[in-house]
Amino acid sequence: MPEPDFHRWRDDVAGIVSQPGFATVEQRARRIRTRQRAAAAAGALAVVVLLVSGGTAVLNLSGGPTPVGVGTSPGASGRDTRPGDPAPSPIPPWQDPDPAARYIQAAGASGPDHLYALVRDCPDCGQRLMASEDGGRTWQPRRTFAAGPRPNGTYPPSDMLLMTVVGPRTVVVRLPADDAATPSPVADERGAIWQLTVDGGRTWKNLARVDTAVPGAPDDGKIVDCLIGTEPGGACRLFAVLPATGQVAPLANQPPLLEYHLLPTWDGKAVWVQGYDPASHRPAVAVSRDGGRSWTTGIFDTEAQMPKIDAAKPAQLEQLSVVTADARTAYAVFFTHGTRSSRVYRSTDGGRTWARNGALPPGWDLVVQHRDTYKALYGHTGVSSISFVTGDGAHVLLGTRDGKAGYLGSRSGGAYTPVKPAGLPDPDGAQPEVVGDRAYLYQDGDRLYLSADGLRWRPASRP
Amino acid sequence: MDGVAAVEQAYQAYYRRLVGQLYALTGDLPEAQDVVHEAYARALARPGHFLEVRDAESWLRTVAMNVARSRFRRRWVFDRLVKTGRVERSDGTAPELSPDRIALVTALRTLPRKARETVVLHHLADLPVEQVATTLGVSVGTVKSRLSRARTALARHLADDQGASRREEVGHA
Repeated sequence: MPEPDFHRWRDDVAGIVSQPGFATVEQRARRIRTRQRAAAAAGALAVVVLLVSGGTAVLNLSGGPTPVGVGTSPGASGRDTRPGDPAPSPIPPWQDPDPAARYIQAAGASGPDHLYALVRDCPDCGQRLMASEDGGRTWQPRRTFAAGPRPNGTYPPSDMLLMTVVGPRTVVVRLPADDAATPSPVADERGAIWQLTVDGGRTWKNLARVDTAVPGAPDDGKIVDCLIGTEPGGACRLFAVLPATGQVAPLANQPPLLEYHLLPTWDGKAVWVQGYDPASHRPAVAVSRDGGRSWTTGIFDTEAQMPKIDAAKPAQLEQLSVVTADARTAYAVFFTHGTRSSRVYRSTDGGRTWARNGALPPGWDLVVQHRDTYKALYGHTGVSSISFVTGDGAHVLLGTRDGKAGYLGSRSGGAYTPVKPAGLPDPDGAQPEVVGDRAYLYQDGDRLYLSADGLRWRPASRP
Repeated sequence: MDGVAAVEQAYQAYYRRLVGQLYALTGDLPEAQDVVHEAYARALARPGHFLEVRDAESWLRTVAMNVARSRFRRRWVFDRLVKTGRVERSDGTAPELSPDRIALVTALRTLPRKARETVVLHHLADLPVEQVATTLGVSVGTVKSRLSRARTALARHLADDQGASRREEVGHA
């Protein structure tokens, strides 16, 4: 096999690169100096405050505190250095925890008290599972999922580690089979294994997939969708997690829709899926109130039919996002790519019937999640609007106007007007989730926020 | 020569080459141009320091790679920000490059980050193995094995790309 011609590639790239004038570098350097001066001033003030309060501060002896990431000297890692420190390596260790790089990879909860967060301390660090049993006031570490390479030198896909919270102390994770922390179990076709905890993450056992179908989710279980295993050809099925036996089994009575996927709900008995009606090929929502044993379907007769089914690959749902909090009041947001038009429908009978909701204000557009991000989060391609239902049945969705994002609210089917949920940070495209009866969770960087109604939020302590 | 002149001289001498190296590392040409530009700006923000640097190109490359690294950690949020309308997303490709040149970038992106760095430093920055090892803080043996595996993986990927159609990964929620 011929090897790549790196030098020729390098020359070609150099030939097409446009080089801005040096004046642009000078301009940018001025901004950097301004930031450094501001940081130094803030650091000096912080020292005064800390000294007055009896605390201590660490300063770069050449000036004020230096923000992480700003290169200050040849070979520097961007961190503060002091005389006597060993010379920093030119590139910081990739697995060196960095408070500025720390973020929450995923979070979930069951009710207002039991929270779980997968925390990554640096881009190449492993993920730590943290658990809280007091609504985010305190956190305890449970396990760490390694980030190292496979024996063949490749890395598992970044989206392989997933977490699903099934109950207050029941969590399912999907992780690479060769994770160093696990014994060698049977892996699925993607090289992933599934594990279960029923004691809040203290102990784990492998989740076994069985082929015998079950009528529905047990009281302590939940329905999960086909990320856990696909049919030949990639068709999706729903599965029930059975914590008592450590098994996951297919649902006997699958939703009566085509190309469906599961919608997030917190109640194991209320199962919502969106897909297409087999007869009309119109978008539809199927709802079960008994853990997947029986279904009722609501069809959007005036919305566009699904694209022609390609037998080689499943059709992709690109337009519909359905949200609910109490499994009774729900909103369905349709978004059309080409025209960027949106339609919202509201149901107050648990998805049986739907009526058009109010319109967005003039000049507003929907924010939709980019498809790659959506795929990493939910495992299937498509676009999704970002919205949630408040404790009193209002609909809050994320819109944008003149390039600035903001929330819009609609109550009782009326038109949308700008709203600002108290205590929620400026929107960055994250989806607030309903995680229990009167329990909402929002993730922003390395912080989690909680609410009892979706309108007033408080930050949890950092996991 | 004063520090400002030294930075400007380095800008004329190394900018394009550094952009190529960071493009190979990040897989995103506009991103590569921006992190290299940032590296020069940081040098110019403290020109006295830059005069003391023994190997200007190496220093600039190190800073650019650090900037790229710090941006990666924010990419989780970046993908969301782009859809709030605050940031414009580019597809990162270089339309002027021929398909086989773009194929190499695509192939590089399939490598683990550490292997990709190793390839960039040795094959694109022309650093000897020993210097790559020092730069990355690993042994010479590690560098050699990474290069060997990376070359094999790249060659296989490029051969696949030329011939058979890629099996599409179907993901479902």
